[in-house]
Amino acid sequence: MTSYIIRRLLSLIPTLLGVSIIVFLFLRMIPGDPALALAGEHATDANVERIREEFGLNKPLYEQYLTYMGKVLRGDLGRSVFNKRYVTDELRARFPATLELSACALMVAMIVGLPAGIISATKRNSIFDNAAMVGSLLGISMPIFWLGLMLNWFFAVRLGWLPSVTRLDSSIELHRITNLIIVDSLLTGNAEALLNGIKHLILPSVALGTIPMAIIARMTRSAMLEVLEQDYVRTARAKGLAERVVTFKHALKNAMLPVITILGLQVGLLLSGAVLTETIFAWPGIGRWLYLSILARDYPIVQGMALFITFLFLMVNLLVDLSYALVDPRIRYG
Amino acid sequence: MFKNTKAWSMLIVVGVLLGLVASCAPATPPPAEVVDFVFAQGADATKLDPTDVTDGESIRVTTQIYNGLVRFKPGETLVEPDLATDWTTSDDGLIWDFNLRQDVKFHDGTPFNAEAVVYNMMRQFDPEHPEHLGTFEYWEYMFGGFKGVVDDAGNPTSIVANVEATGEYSVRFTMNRPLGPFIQDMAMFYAFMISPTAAKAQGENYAAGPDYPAVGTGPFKFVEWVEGDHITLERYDDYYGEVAKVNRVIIRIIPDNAARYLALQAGDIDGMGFPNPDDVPNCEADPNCQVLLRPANTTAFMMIMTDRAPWDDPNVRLALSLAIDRQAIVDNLYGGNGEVAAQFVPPAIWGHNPDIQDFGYDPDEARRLLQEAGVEEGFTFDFWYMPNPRPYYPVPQDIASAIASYWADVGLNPQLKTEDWSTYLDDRAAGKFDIWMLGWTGDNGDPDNFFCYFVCIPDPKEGNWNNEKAQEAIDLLLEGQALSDQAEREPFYFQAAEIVHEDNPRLFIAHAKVPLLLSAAVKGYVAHPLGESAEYFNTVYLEQ
Repeated sequence: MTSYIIRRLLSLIPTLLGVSIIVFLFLRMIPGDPALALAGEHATDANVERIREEFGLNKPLYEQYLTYMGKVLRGDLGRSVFNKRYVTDELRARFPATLELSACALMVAMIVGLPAGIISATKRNSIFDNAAMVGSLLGISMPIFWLGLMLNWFFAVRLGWLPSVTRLDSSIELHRITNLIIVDSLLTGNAEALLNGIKHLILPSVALGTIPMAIIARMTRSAMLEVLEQDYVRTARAKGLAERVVTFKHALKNAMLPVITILGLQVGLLLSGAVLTETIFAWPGIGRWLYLSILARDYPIVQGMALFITFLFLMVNLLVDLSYALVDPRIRYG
Repeated sequence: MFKNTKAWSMLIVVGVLLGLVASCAPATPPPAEVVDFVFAQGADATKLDPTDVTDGESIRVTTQIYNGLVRFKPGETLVEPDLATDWTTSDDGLIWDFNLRQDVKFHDGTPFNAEAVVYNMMRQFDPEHPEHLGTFEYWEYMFGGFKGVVDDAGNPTSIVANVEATGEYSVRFTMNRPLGPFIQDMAMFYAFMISPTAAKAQGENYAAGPDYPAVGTGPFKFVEWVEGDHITLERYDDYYGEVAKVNRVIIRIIPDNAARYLALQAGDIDGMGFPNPDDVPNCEADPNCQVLLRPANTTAFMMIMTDRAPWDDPNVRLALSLAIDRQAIVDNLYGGNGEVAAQFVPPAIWGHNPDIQDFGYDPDEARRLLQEAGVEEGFTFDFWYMPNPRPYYPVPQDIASAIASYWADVGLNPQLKTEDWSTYLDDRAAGKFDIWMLGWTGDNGDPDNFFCYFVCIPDPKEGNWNNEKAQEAIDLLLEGQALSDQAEREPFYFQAAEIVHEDNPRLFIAHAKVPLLLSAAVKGYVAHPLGESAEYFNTVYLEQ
């Protein structure tokens, strides 16, 4: 297993290198001059030229790339063209918000999606099954943007039950250690911030988690149906085991492999969905920041984020692959 | 005990439900003595150094933290003393002397005096200054350049020659040439005074992020900046002017216009800018909401590349203008908050020529002029519109579609095109467009700011307007720019506006009054034509 993990970690290097070259070149092929975008409507030619000089945008492409990669190897992902802050500092400030939101959305998706899929499979063609599948179809079809606005309008404005935006009320003081509100509240013993943070998380988590929830429900149902038809399940029933034991101890474990794969792929969906959710709920994460950086041609931000997200994806895939061995004892890595 | 897993499961479920129910209880209200004014804007500040920013989001925050030698009067574009008590100008306009307040300290205790003023000015002006570490775009743009920079003829590009202390509380600005708008420029945000102590300590990172506090003399002190989320300021009780009525100002970042309005309705914020046009009448109809309108300081217009056929014919340009029903556009696409424009300078700004009237809507005359000019029926051309809302074009695509349909009615065939903002600016500068949308939001309440930028240097991004009339207008504008007295300057701007009106190198569309939406509880908010750079939150309070 150890050698397998090492091999997978080493394979990150060529992948990240390839991504860095592709993103670097593609950014520079897109029309639009970041120096002019930064200088804005007041741009004088001297101003634009000075900005190009400052950020090395007037150098040959290969020189720009080598300079950039030299810094990356020293842990410096560069500075934003617009606000000159280090990309790593911005990531450290913003990523925890996206991580917290994505984790809660995934939790919501699993808490609702897994049981719905299991029950639908065990009570196939029942009213619950039909309702769950129609519900999951609606969940997949609803645009996140619309759902987020509707949730916001209904629960925050109409009912006044939940807050409409951001992560914490402005009246709450919380000492930030990790910048994860829930974790920092627990670490500092701040019950008020904990409850307030949970309140703020509910609507965006539901909005972001709806599509993964629907996908997980459908995938779980499908995998469970296939497993429940197997001979060993029939044998288990014939031996007189309780249906609950047959479902959870025998069937579910074997149905989990495709579901785990789907869970890993949801990371991508959550990160892309986060752009829209973060916009609606004013969530200060990386999603919208990346989108705006692309529009503004903020090369260092886009390049740095591309490397970071690629690294994240590869690590999640590694964890998914390793978890197969936990679920299925027949799978061994050497 | 509790060997039964079912019982454990039930206990956990009940516990989670109780937790959720408890969390839905109303949040503990803040203590009675802590009153916050929460204002939401669409993007985060980039930096809190007023000398080195250009975006409205940063400027709004810096306006609360800092002061300049002079400031714009609340609600007006005239200038009044602030950190300076009074000033004089020499007859030739080359010397400006300021006397300073003697009772002011920066938030970190550093005394404010002539040395601090000289430090602040030279930090921007002198490339050799140890803290000349930013791009200082507005200094360069408004004053022409930095110390030691000369043009092809060897003349200094900068209007300013030197800044020196003439006493502990007096400062002299010596100019290379007279500049009428100078006192208006000195009221702008880039002339705010920052603490020399803080600037020296933080170097190039001054106020660049949460770990680098901004230090000014203003009614609010910097407390906290959670990036992408909010910036917190608190009242400065030793402020020399009107001490703030609220304890804290919190600037929230809510990118989406609709989400921002929902937050206002939910009571999570007290005020916001840039609403969707449809939300303005909704707010007007809501007893818990109020709409404030900033007097128009913007002009929306169409740029025309006047160096190519058929746009080099002034009658063709006139035809384009006559074909557009501006009043209908203003009534339907500006949320009722616009007025028809016929010149660069909006009515709220001095230098607006009241004798210039819109040509009106006359499609028959437009068709006749086009036929006379030999423009064939169905003439096809690209019409570029901006991709994102601007203060002067709140819904650019809809406005472009309306204008295109008016032109189609008179026999033209405009092809609507757009691209992202960065590319749009790039292609505009390269002279790629024939006809494109543009606009302006005034910086300093001076007509020169509206006029000269778009006329004084003919180049592709300004439509290459370079004929005899253009030269006449440029001469008038440069003469007006060189005088100090407003009454003497005004006739030059009136005449230049008449020339532009006759020759039509621009098609003026509208002046937009920018709406602000506030909770009905908010009092004392004075909307300003110059927007966030002159809206002072120390007069704001909430009436419950």
